[in-house]
Amino acid sequence: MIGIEAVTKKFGDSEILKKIDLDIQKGEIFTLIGPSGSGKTTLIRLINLLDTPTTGKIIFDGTETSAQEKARLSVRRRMGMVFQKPAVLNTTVAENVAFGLKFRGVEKSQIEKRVQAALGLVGLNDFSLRRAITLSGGEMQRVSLARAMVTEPDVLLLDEPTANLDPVSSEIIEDLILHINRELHTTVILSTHDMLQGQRLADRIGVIMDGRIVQVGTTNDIFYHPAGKDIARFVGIETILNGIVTTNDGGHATIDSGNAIFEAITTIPPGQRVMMYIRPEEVTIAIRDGDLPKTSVRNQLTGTIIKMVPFGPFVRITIDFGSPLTALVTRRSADELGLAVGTAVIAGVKATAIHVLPDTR
Amino acid sequence: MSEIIEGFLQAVNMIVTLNPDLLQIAALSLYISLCATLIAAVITIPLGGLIHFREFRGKQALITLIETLYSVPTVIVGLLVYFLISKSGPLGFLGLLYSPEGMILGQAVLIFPIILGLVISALSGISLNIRDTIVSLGATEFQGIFEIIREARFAILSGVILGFGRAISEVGVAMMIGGNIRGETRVLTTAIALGTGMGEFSLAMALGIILLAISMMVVFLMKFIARRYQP
Amino acid sequence: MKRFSELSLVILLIILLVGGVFIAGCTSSVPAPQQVVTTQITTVPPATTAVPAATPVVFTGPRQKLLIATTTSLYDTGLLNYLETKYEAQNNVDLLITSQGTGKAIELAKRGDADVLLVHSPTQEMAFLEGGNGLNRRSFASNYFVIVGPASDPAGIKGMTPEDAFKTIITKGKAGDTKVMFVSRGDGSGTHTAEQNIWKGAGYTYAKDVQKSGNWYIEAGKGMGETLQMASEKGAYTLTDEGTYLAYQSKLNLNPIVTQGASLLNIYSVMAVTTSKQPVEKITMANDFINFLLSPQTQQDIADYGKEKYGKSLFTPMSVSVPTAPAGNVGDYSTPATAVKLLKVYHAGSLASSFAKLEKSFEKAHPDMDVQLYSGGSAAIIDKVNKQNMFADVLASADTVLIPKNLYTKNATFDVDFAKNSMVLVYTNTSKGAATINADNWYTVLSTKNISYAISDPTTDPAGYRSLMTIALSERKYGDGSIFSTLVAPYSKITKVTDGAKSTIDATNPSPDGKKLVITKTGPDIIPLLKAGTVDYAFEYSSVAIQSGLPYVTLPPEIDLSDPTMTARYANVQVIRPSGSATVTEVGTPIIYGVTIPTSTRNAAGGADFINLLIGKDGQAVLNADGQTPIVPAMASGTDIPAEILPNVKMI
Repeated sequence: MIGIEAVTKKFGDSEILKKIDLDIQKGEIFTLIGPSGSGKTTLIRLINLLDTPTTGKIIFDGTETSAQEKARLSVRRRMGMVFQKPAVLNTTVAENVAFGLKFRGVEKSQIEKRVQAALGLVGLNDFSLRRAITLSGGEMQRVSLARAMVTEPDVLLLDEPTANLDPVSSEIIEDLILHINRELHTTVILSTHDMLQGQRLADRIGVIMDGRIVQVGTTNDIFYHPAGKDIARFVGIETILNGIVTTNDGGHATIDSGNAIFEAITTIPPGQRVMMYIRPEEVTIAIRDGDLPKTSVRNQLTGTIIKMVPFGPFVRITIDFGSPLTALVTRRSADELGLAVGTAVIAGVKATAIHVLPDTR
Repeated sequence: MSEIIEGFLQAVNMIVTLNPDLLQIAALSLYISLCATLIAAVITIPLGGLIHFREFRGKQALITLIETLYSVPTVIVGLLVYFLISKSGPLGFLGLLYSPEGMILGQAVLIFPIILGLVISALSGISLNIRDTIVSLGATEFQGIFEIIREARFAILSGVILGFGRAISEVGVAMMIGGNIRGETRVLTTAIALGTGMGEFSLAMALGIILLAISMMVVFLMKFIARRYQP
Repeated sequence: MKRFSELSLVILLIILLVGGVFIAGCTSSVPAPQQVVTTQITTVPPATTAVPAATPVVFTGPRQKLLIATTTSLYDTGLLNYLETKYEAQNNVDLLITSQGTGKAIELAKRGDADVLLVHSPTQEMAFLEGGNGLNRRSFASNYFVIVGPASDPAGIKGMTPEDAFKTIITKGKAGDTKVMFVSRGDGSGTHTAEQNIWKGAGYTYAKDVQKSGNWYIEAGKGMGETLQMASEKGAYTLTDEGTYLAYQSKLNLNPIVTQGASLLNIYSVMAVTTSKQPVEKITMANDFINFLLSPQTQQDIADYGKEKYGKSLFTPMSVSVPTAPAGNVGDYSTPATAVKLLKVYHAGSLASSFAKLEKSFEKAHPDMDVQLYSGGSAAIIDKVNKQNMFADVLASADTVLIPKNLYTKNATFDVDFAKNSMVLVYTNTSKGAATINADNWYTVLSTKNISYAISDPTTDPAGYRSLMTIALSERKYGDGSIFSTLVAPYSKITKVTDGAKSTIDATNPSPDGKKLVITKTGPDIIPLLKAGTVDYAFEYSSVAIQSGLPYVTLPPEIDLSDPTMTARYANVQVIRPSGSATVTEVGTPIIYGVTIPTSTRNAAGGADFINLLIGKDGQAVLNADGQTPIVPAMASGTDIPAEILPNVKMI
């Protein structure tokens, strides 16, 4: 649906986007995730044709977008955008929502009908005559959404839409996004710095860091097989260990991290230095109680709990086995096992759960 | 000091008795300044939109120039317009000198920079977010300018009111272009100048009070209309 | 419904305003006035002239507009509003009166933004006319300026002449007497000009001696009313016209201090504006208004104005009394204005009398033309045309040679010689040696101790350098080579160098001693000097002598420059005189008057008619009577002689 080819964007002397190549498929929800300042907003603005790239081209539905304002306008009118800070104009909600239709010259009776439908879509039917600037943040963002959708765009762009909202409003917005994509078949491009939101909503994720797309893939690809250390850190892999491959038997390798020997699945030959990525959800904890149990989990590490941090219904436990290893355990389990700082435990990691990448340092 | 009180009493007297000279002079003042403000506003509001939204070399310099012209002495504007419409000037054939229409032209020229500058300033006060939103919603350049102007309407109205105030209170242009001719181009301000020149201080105060009263009515009226005409 | 009531209130307000416009009438009330002041003024009893009533032109059709530019002093007296009402009642004309100060009024008129100029500043008016901007100047009323000041009269000037009063004020002011101050209009107005003239009369150079000479002299830069208020506040003196003073008197702490003096005369004049674009209809309308001002009824109204309020008239109309003033200040006050076209004539001083007569007969025959005469030394008027870019329709020089010499071909192309003259020695019955003087002994008489004589300025006036030539030529005639060095050289810086038969006189810096040899600034000054007894004898044109009625010595043709057959002899003497930053040499020639139409003319047809009158029978008669022998037929030379003149001249 949208092709971004060799796009760079410079503002003055600083280069914000440093060569972006990306393809957005029709009908998918594509999420751009990355830290603040990585260029997400800039890229989305370029896609919405609010700015022009310094070099490169943007292709919309097969046609290259031109520099001519008239052509750009007609392409822009096939998209809708929701900004991070909901900007509503000093007039009624209904009028706000109607803007896009007004600009396109839709006749009045049609406008009224469609505005009501859009407000219904976002659940703000009774808000038509309210002054838009008096609404709460969440309500305003829903108005923005209605406003963007009322024109039945082919593509909906959202730039960190829930960044400033409370969890309840955020959830409402997320549900609406999903609904819009599933029921109305609108292609959605969404940017966020919340990787969990990305995980929840996306068909595909593009990771953008420091102005470059560093990885594109499904949720699984990104979260379980991040292409680099920074991506891994960003998507929440907290345990990163380095080591050397000592043996490799048809893909089943042993890796010496200095403090322990790990078994993992990788094609990297022996002698190579590697990085091992372990998600906290993949780490199990058992109380050391005599002999090690017989289990299929290949890696059993002996250590002590050095940190416990509550995380909603979970607990994040850091274990020191010589190096730090982070595990995510339910609170219930933690309580039942009587886990506390100083408890001697055995951390278990399946060989298949260790993501190995060459150490390119 | 007593002249102020005498002036006030004289003002009330003239209003209550519907003094025909006063009515004629006051009506003429209003007619001229309102027309001048209307003409200037109609031109400067879209022009201000264009200047604000378009990027071009020397834009900042232009805006600084406009703001500098806030301080142009009214007599100088009067003199320049006089050279233009004098019989020996390029527009002499229009016969605008010593007519209310010439004064409208002169005052419109005078207040043009003020309203233009304040329109641009009002538009700058509208956050970039709003502008992005409007563009993103598919507005053409002119649709966008129109909406932003609407969004900034109250600030713009302030500018227009200020322009009107400067127009109705100035003497330099009215004197130069109008000539203070009795029954033809004598307005409140030139009548006040004549009065003070002739030592008629109470009369001058009375006219001044009436001028302020009229201005107040106009300001109220403008704000009223703005509030009523809410989208 | 709240909306409805607010809206209806607004509509009501609008209706009130609009209604006011319709109710409004057009007369305004003259601001409330003040009490009486007494000033006494003397005027010369007038020549009562019956003003032939000009038939007022009636304008039919839509109401016309006539724009009158006037001064604040005049306007603020209320006279114009008073007259406006009367005029508008009788005529289909709307008078639009704008009062913004003399300078502004004149500027407006020059640019064609006014149709009538109504001011009271004769010097500025005459400069305005000389620029070709006005027609039919008529003076219609006068009054007097007054020097007012605090009742205590700190400078002690009461009863002095204006000049002495000013002298006293400036002396005391500069010496540091803080009680003595003077507020000046400082705005180039008629009143300001009058003030400057008084300073000049008192012997001060305004820009150098008076302006910025101390805190005692305050330049207000304001109108008369405001200047009076300032003077009153500061306890200072100021010069004001009577009318404004009376109007403000109740608000001021000022009394009239000096009320007598010729330099306090204030003359009000009116003129029609003419520019290249001014339509004839407007000029006719302006003339109609001028005639209205001169009409007996209006003159009476002007005389009555102010009597009720102040117990005395504010203005003295010309019909009641015509004041004496320097020549030209008081304009014509009786002839109806009919001219719509200007004929500007520069002429030599010695032609003044004849041209004044010709002006009258010309205007009678051409009522649509206003002849404006400007008299001066021939060299000076020629300089005006070729150096100062002034235009003229006719230029008549007392030395015809100067026309081809200085004006061809850019400023003139032809020259018509029309009269002759000769140098004579004029005297009075009381001149010393008058009993015995004759054509043979005049130079001996002149050389006598105690006997003085005058000539005109040789640097600008041909009469002046011709006087020197006559004296030089007499040396050969009488066989006495010491005449010049006896009569001229010892009493001035004029020198003569003789080289064989030729003499060259250097008059670049005359510097006469002023006792034996007096040099007057202009030609017309000579006769009064003789009559006053300041000098015993004077060299002048015979025409001037005849016109003056004084006795004179007829000199031999070898020296009196009267005979064209002696041109070669006359050419033996020449005079060097300054011209601009350089010098020019005038060779002795017979005195022949020449006339031309400069190329800058704006009324060539009128110019040609005037010349035809001059060289025709009527002109010849006038010239004869004034002692200038006409050349018949007139002799023309040069190129592009106007067709209307050709039949009346002989080409040389």
